[in-house]
Amino acid sequence: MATETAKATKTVMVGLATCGISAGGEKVFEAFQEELQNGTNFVLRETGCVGMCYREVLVNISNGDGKSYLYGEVTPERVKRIVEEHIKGDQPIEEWLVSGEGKEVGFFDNQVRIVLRNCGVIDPGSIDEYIETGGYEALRKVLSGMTDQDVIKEVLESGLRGRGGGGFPTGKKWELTNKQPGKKKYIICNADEGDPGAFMDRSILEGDPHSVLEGMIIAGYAIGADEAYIYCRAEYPKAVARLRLAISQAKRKGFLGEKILGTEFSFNIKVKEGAGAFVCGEETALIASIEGHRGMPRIRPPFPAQSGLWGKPTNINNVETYANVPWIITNGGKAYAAYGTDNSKGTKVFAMAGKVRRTGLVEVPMGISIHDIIFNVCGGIHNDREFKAVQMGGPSGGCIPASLSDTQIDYQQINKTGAIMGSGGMVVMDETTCMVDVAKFFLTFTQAESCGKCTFCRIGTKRMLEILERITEGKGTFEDLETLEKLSEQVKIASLCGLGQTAPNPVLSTIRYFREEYEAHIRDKKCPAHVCASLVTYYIDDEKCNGCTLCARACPTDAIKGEKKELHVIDQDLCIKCGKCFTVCNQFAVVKD
Amino acid sequence: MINITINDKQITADPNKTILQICHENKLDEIPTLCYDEKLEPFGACFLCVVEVEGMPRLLPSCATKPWDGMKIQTRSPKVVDARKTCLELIVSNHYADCFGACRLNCPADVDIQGYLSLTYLGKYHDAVQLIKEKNPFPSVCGRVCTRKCELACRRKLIDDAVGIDYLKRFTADKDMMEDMWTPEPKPRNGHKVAIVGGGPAGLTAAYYLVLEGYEPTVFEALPELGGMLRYGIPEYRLPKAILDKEIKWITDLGVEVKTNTRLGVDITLEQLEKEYESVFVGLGAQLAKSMGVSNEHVQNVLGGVDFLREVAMGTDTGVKGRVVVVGGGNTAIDAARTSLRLGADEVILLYRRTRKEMPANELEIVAAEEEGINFKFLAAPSNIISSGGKLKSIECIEMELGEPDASGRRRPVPKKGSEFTLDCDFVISAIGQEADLKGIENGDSEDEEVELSKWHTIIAAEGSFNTNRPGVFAGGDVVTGPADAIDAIAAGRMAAYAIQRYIETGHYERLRPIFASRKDNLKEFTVEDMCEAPTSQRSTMPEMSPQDRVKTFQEVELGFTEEQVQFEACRCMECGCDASLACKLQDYCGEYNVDQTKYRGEFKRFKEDKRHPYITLEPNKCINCGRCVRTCADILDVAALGFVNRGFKTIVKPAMEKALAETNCISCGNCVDVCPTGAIVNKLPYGRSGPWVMEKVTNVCNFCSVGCNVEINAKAADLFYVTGSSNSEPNHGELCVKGRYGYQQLIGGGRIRRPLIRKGGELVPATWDEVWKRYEEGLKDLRVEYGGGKMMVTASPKLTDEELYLAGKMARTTLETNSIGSFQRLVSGADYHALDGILGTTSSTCGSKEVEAADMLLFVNCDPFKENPVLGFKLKRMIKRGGKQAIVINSSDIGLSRHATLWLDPRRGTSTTLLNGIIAQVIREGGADADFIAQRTEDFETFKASVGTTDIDEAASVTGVRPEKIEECARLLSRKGLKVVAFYNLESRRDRAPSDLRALASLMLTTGRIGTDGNGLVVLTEHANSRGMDMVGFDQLLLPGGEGINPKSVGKLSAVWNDDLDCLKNGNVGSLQRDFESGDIKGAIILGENPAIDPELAALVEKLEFLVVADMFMTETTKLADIVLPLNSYVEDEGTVTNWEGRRQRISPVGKPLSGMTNLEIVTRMMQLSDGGVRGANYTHEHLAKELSEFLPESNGTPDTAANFKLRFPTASGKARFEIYPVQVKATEVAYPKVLVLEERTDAKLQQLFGVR
Repeated sequence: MATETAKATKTVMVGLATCGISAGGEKVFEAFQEELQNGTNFVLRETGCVGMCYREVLVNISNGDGKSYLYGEVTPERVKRIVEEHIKGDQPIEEWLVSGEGKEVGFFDNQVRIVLRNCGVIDPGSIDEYIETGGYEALRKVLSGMTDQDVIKEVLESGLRGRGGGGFPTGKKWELTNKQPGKKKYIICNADEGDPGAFMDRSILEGDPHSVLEGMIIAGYAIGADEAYIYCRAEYPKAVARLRLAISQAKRKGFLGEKILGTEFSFNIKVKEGAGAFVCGEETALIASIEGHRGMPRIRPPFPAQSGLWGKPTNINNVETYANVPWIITNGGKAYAAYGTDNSKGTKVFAMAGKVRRTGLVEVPMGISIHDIIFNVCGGIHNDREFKAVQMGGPSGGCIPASLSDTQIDYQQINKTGAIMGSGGMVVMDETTCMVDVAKFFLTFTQAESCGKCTFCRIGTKRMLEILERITEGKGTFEDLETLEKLSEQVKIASLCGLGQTAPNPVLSTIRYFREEYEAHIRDKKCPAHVCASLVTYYIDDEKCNGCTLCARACPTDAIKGEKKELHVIDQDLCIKCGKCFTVCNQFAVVKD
Repeated sequence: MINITINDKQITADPNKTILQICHENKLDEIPTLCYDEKLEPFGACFLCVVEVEGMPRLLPSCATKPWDGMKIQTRSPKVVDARKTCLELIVSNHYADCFGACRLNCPADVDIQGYLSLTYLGKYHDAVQLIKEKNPFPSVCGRVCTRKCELACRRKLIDDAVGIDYLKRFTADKDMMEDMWTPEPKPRNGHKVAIVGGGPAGLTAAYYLVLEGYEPTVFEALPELGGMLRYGIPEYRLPKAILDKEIKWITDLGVEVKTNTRLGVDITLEQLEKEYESVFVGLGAQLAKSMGVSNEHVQNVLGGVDFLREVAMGTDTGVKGRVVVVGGGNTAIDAARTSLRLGADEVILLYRRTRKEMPANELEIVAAEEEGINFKFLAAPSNIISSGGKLKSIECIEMELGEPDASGRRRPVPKKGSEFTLDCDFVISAIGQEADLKGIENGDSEDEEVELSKWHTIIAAEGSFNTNRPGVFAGGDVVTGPADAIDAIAAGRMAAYAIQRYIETGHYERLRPIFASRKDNLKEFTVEDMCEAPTSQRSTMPEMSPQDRVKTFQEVELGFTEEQVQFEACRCMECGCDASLACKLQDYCGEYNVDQTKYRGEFKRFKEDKRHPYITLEPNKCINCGRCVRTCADILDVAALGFVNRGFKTIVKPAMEKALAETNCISCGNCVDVCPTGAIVNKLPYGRSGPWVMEKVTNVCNFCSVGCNVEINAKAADLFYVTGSSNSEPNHGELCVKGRYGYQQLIGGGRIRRPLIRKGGELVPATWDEVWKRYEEGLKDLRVEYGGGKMMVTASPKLTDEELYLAGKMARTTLETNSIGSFQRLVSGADYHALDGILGTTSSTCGSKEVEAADMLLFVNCDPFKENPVLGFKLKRMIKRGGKQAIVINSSDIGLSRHATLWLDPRRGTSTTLLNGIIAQVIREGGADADFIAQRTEDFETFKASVGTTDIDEAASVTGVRPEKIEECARLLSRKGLKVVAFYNLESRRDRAPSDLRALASLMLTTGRIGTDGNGLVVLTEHANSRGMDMVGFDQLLLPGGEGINPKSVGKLSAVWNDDLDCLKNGNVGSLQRDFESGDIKGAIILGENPAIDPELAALVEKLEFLVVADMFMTETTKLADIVLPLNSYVEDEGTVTNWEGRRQRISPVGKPLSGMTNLEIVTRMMQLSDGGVRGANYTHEHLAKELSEFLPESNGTPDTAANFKLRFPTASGKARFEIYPVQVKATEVAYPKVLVLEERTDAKLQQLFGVR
């Protein structure tokens, strides 16, 4: 239906994933709706996130002749002109386009989009569009003749590894669960994406929910499960809504429920909303949470594959892993394995955040270097500052310094640096980032999110954090640093679950690569990046100050004295180092030291 | 089995066990753990149990890790030890708690002050003294002369004044000394000889602790008498020699050899001692007065302070009179000044170079000196002695001013130039310090190295182990430290004694490891803001002689507290130390791993104690999140009153929804208290003080229901104890319910009858045992004369032991010639204790816990085990919820188990017989009847089938209100062949009882062949602890010992055993107790532990009795009517056996001696003797009875095989079970729901009801 109309008229697709909505996408959508009501002839649809979050709100206009134009930073005000000139007048507005006619092509050129194949392309609320792009073909293929072992073999051949962070070979996991005795088995989709700065799963669920469902159904067939849960954080209301809609659509079409596509295979999926505990991303805690208990990890073994949900064999994968599955079945494991390195196959989605020019979602083939992602895909560092490090793997990961930016995206290569692949969060840092502060940031997060069960994680990370706080306040000692390193090692080796075992990684990797920064905080009581408030002094450059009084008016503690058009001076005793003066001064006269 | 290596030792191990279990079972290593509990699933919270496994980068929690073949494990590698230490340091960095009070921590001798103060408060002076003497053998002495570092540290000072600890010690020790002085039993002598040089506090203390351990110390003392500075340095008015003598004699009497007038270096040498003894302890003290360092100080009448005091003590005339100047500011100066005054000096001036504030003397001493009129001259120091003709004329002094602080922190006195002045005087006493007299050591003629000395002229001895540079020579006290306090010397003496023992045993120098103590101060300085709210109360004042009187005499100034003062003062102690400090695993491990609480100091949690629960105190600050309470409450008890709250560092265990524990669904079973490895959950003790004390553990059996739980009575004394469930044996494996754990609280405190009472002039008055027995004899005689024999009735509570009940029955049936025996409890309960006699030949359980555990299906009729027999209920609920057992509940109410049951049938109250009949009929229709069984093992089934077996299902449904489908479903479930079923019925439960329901239940079980067959059975529960025992010993009108019915054969057998013609049984006098009673035929009664008069109808009958003897623990409606009231002992004080529902006979042991002087058994024995003029009343002991009872009862303490008694034949005359036709009630009974009370009321009401207390 959509394609028919597209031939005749133009199609406007507004990016309405969470990133688009927060940039004002709904207002833009309403503006187009208004134009529709005014009688303009075009088709208006919503779509997911194409990955260019830095240019939201994105609007794609297909002319119906195969040509499509992507507008960035669309506001409701701009809609009128787009409608007038492009839709009615067939004249695309060149200066607003982000792609299409030779603009920012680099962003997509270096990507390989398997998981994100439909994101930002189709309407996630429409199962028909999913089907039109080849959706549920993989399921048909599986149910029309493949055995469970065939499916597992295909997945094994693809070399797909769990994209949630652990990197355990997916096919192997399915095989293990498949082999467990017992009739009742479960599939769980871990959609409890909790790493700060990571939003891969959200985008997939919002942009292409059916691909995840299809992957889960195929997994269920492969391991012999008939029931599944998607454990999704309640903070992703849009994702939850799209999933629920997708499930009901899939049921109506016979892809879910009893006797799927007329076979003997039955499969049902329920959505369970998590209450926002980071630790529930840990599979045993996640299972406890679904069972209605406090989300607390338990000791493994037994592994969920042996005894998971309600004590039954359970296969848990994350969203991205499942989303890969239909493509692998359709195109074959070999095709997937064609991408990547020896031990890391296929593609990986990364959420780019921090000081990089193009923030957003990218999907790259394994084996690409970190440098290529940052500079070729994402356009380099914001404001052309110096690239310092990239934090990979969220709070469980570590910092890879610029000196190692040739490191390939490959599970083993990244582990060697002290970071981990993780679920795909990449926070890019430049010279203005304090690495002690970064370590403190991540540890603050893990400490608050610890389930509180085991001693080293509950108290150990707290003490580590306190030491980091002391260091950033200029109260740290070299003994503290020694204690910090020792404690980090002990927390690593003597915590119950992945959260505690990896919580010291940001600390250890920053000490490993940026020890001199720690020492500067301790020895010189200085923060080289001028980030740690207690160690920063603000003063006014008497040559640059023109006495505009802006800083004095901004100062919350009246620490800045000075008459109009005369030199201003900061009273260091009163200064609380909030940095407002630094921000407001347009003469660059406020200096941080 | 697989092969693994643990600490380089190869063993074979079960791969299904964890490494921790394997290590513990094979005694390879006591791996420490705080969160592991063998009754719970491994949890992995504390991570203290980590071990290193070869090839694994991470340390693994041994509590949860199972081994694999070839695994190589290290349980004590440096990495492991390091991680454990860090783990503990992290835990205690967030453990804002005090193990001990500041008093104890500040006491050099580490005396358990809180412990002895609480014992003192409770009047347990003997115990208090024993506790003090664990660390300090001189409590009476120290109670007078101690410098009271404890009081300096007392937290109470922050709100008002320190607790008068020392005065309390003095009172306690004096009292003990006057009465029956506590004396330990030294270990047998071991032949190791130790020489102790110096008979002062250090030497005597060392001798005391050595002699206790069996060593043979000899004390060498230079002076004529022992005591050292205590005798020769402290004046009589502060420490009477009589007191000192007593404490010294008490020590030497234990076997310490003493050689006085023997001076080292003169009479003996160190070398000699080294040769003759295995070890030498040098505790010479510091006895030499330091010189003032001014010219002329050696003239006549210039005396050294200690020399002066010593001479006075030895009775030498010092000639002190006139004007005396004492120089110095310490205790010796004050002592010298006050002594001078008492010797008749006209004026005493005390010269001190700083101000009063800096005076090192004890404040109380200074005040006493001021009161007595000593003149203090501050900021003045002697500069010269002016004499004429070798005789003192005056002392020249110079004024001082205070300059910069010196090393001691006090401001240094600086002479003021030109401020010299002169004081004319007759005597100068220089008391500016002492030092050791080391001539005896220095003059050694040995070729060996000399004993190493410090530049301060003291012996150098290692800290803590007290060894000097000479092998085997130890030194302690003032001779090492320089002049210090008596308590320091005592502390040194005890620690040195330990080091000497270790040296003799091992040849190594070892120190007594200090106990780890968590301190709030380690995390944050303790201030008044940190105090809990306590009402202020003034410290009690020590009564003393008036200053006018005391200066004339050397009599003791301080007169000592009165007992009321002691009570008040001891109660001022705020018990800062932890209730769990004697049983805290965290504390133990922290000591073992040498933990530093300050290592990871940072933020810590601070919560208020939660004391709102009637029995349990929560102290969240001490919680270490091990989760054992949470898991026990949820997984074992299925209550889940506690849970984890919050995340991260803020995670804490507490009741959900911010409720008080008492407001949750907590059932007050207190099992959380037992599992808590620290003091985060503790029992609230009912004594007003919580100790903690080291308790003696006595195993007993709970007396509150028929489950027969083993309990541990933790007792300090017969009236100071509490109950825990820590024994891990059948039937309860340490689990208890509220009754078992806290029911004891009803037994202590007021209200107990402790002496016999006798009615005189209409009033019950205390009497001696002799008077009581005389009256008893007369009373019986009068009745006999008036009415002839057999007019007495004997009733007893089913709480009493098998032995007591047996003997009471024997007394009744032989000497009193009556068969009117039984229990009023049973009369009142209205239950038919013989309901099944006709069907099964007995009305008791036909199987035991073995069958219950093996059953597939549990069937509950008229019972609520979760409430009535809770510990059994916990177990059954677990079996149903997690153990895969099915359950059918037939009860009008939603009992604790019905939610988890497969089927819950809820008939209208009183109609369950009809329901059961309906089920039976349906079972028969379904073909569920076991034809073979019925044919072979039962009688009269056809008649039964024709009557009950035709019950219409729809009619049953309409009568009971249970849907017909449910009845059908139930019948279908029970008709399944091979299904093992155990049915439960509570004989004494009234809530859901229906006439004939037990008979209907038994008939149902018989119809399906489930009584007397493998794995099936009927469990008959009761509420009272020894109901089963009562039947088994034949304390029932219809039963004889062994539980046999009355028939010529059984009577004949008994008659032979008892050697009595048992006329009372032959005369057909076998009726109902109630009928006997109501007929007026009974003229007198002996009532043991029962309160029939609580029932108005029975009260009227009791009142009519002409002679009434009642034995009970409390005054009741019945005791008030008695002619004689005898004090009964509770189960805690009792001895014997009790028999639980399944026939398990368990032994109980008493705590302490009976309160009244007679045991229950002795009381019954005595009565028996007197009721027969001593003819047949032998003097029964427990041994006698055990032997006699073995004729009738199974062995005690074994697991009974109850089911075996029904396997081949039923205990009926024919050996077959007989189907009966029983009456059926078809109308619902109007029963009011029991009032739902709040927890405390409910528990107490329950307990009161059980005890018959009002």
